[in-house]
Parts: sequence; C-alpha cells; structure tokens
Amino acid sequence: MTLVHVEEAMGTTFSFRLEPGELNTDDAAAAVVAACRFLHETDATFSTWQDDSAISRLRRGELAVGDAPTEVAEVLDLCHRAGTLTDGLFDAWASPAGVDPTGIVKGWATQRAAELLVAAGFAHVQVNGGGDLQLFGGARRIGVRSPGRVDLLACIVDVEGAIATSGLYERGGHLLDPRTGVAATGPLSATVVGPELWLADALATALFVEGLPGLNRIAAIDGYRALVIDADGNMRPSAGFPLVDPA
Amino acid sequence: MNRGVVVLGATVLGLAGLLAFDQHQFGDPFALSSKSSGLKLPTNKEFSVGTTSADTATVPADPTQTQQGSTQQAAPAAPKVKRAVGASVSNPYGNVQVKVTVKGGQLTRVTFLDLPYGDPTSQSISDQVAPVLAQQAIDAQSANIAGISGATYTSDAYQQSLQSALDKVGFGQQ
Repeated sequence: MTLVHVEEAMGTTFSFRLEPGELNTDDAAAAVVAACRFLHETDATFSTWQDDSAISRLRRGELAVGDAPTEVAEVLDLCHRAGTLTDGLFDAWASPAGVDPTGIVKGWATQRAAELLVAAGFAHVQVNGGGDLQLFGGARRIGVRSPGRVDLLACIVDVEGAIATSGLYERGGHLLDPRTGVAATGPLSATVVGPELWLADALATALFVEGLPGLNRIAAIDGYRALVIDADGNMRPSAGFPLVDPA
Repeated sequence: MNRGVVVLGATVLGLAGLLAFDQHQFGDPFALSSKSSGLKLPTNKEFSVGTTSADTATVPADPTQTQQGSTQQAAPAAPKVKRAVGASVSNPYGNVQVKVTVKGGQLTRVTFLDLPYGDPTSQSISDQVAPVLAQQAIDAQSANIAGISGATYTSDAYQQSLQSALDKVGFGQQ
C-alpha cells in the first residue's frame, strides 16, 4: 500500500509517497497533516517575501536570533556549515539586504517533514520538496530530469537518503556566482546524493555554480556523491555516484 | 475499445489535498513487472482520506476485469492502461503538457503535447540536450522509478513534471 499526498507549500509543491506499515489510516492521515502544517509554519518563519516573518524582522534588525523561533538558529547554523563545506560558494550572507537562508530552508524543511513522518511510524517515507527528495526506510530508484525537457529523464539514481538537483531550467540562468557577482554559466544541472537533504541541496547549488571542479570536493565529504550534466549534455559523475543502468 | 481501461485525472488542478491510499497498482497482477515476485493478491481497492481530487475518475469499463480472485487466473486478460495528462502551463520556457501512459504496470510512454520551445535559451537547451538524452529517457520508463529529482522550483513547473504524472497514476517503485 502506498499513500500519495501532494501539498502546495513554501512557494513550491511537496509530493509525499509513504508506506504506512502498521500505521492505521487515522494516524497516518494525522501525521501527514502535521508534516504539512510544519511546512506552512516554516514558510511563515522563513519567508523573505513576508514583512512580518521572523527572518524579515531579523534582516531589519528588529529581532535577535535568540528571540526568534529556535528553528532560525538551527538553520543559520546549517548555513554556516554549508558555507564551510563549499569554501564559501554557498553563502547565505552574500546579499547586502541581509542574511538569506532561502537556499537551505526548503531542503531542510523537506528533510524535517520526512523525519516527522518516520517518527510517526511510517515504514517508508519519501518526500519530494520541489524536486529535492529525502527518503527513509530503504533505497529507491529516483529519476533525474533532463535539463532540456521537464518530461524526460537524464538518468536514474539509486537513492537511500537524499537527492538534490540544481539546474539552469529552474533558475532562468540567473544564479549568481558569489565570487564574481555575475550569472553563473557552466553545467546544465548538478545533482548531489547523500544522507541529509539540507546538505545535499546546498552542495547541489554550489556544484551548479562551480561545475566539474566541484565533483571531487563533494565526493570527499563522507557519504556524499555528485553528478554534473555539462554544457554539452554529457553526464559527469563523481567516483561512487550510484547511477542505475536503466537496461 | 475501452475494455479494462482506467483513466485517472484529466487535469492536475485537483491534486492539492489529494490524500489517497491506493493498493490498486500494486495488487494488480498486470502491474507486476517481469522482475517482480508476483506474490501479492489483487485487491483493486482504493479509498481516500481527506479531500480527494474532484477530477480524478476511476473507470473500470469492463466489470469482468475487476480482480477478485487469486493471481492464478486461467485466462489472461488485456493489461490495464492508466493515462494521466498534466495541465498545459505557460512559463518562461514556453508551454509544456505531459502525458504518461502506464500499461501492464510499466510506464510505456511519456509524451508531451506542447514542446518547450519559444524562448531562445530554452530552444538552445532543448536542441542541445534532448537528442542526447532522449534514448536514455525512453529506456528509463521501464525502470520502476519512485520519484523525480530536479523537476520543479515553482508550482507551475511541478504541474508539468513527470513527478506530477507519477503522483497521479500512483505508479512507481514499491
């Protein structure tokens, strides 16, 4: 039995694919509702579009981190860690408008929602937050979309934890390289797999900026592997990237 | 001929709020790939919790196709076909509409009714990449995938995506 739920939240679409295991229907439904509520609450806290969100008040200097919801400090800490692991390519403090953790919030929230569902008792959990997935309970085959066409796959990946893909198609070519301040030009898409989505998502963003040279950096992080689809449409995986032969 | 045809969903507009248990595709003996063990009994049971998509219709056109017995049926029946069509949505890359067909438990076809042409960048990317990856993509359709990475940043993009189509037909790796 598989439970499928689709939820609009955080300006994108979340797709849940769940195996209830021993959970009864009422408990399963309640857990999904709670996970979705978490996503909406996260949006209310971290939205830079809403003037009254905690993150907006923080950016204006009206709120201290210590007075904000505890998730704010947690996410800002992850932003620091992502910056360290990418040698500054991932930089939540690059904008003069103030700290912007947007690049990490969606992946983090997707992972947290999946963890909530595991805690509720689901036997298998797969949450897709706008194209970045967190899985628990066993490996699944996940397709990586073609950079050129939304309806085609470039490859299939054996995923046990998280997979995140950053592509030109979702950015409109406007992802800025923080080192130069100009639009990044390089690969068509970058994919990272690893245990945790908050980091896989941040690494994929950095890899998309850096291109091929970033493959080795990511593969050196314990448990993480990467794939670049270069400007010519060729797939360039790091050592150990779990590509599945579709044949 | 509509014997044994199940059509799910004409648009994706009703998908938000869909919360449906679906045993159908995994209990259907025709949903078993050649690599599957085939031990599950068919149940054909679907029920929903919460707000169900209003435009999702399950149409077992031929009652004799309803699975009630064991998997050891003497007479083979025609594989069931599920189709799902995503909404056509305009975006900076043009219009895209996706249609998927699931037959015999395998994703047999992914077609798109509008090509993402029109924008110079999109045109360039499509021209460059689609021919290289098209054959791989076709091969992938029988590979029993559970989800798609890299599909979407906006809700509109989700509606166009293969993930959306997979969610609609409930197809994928168990």
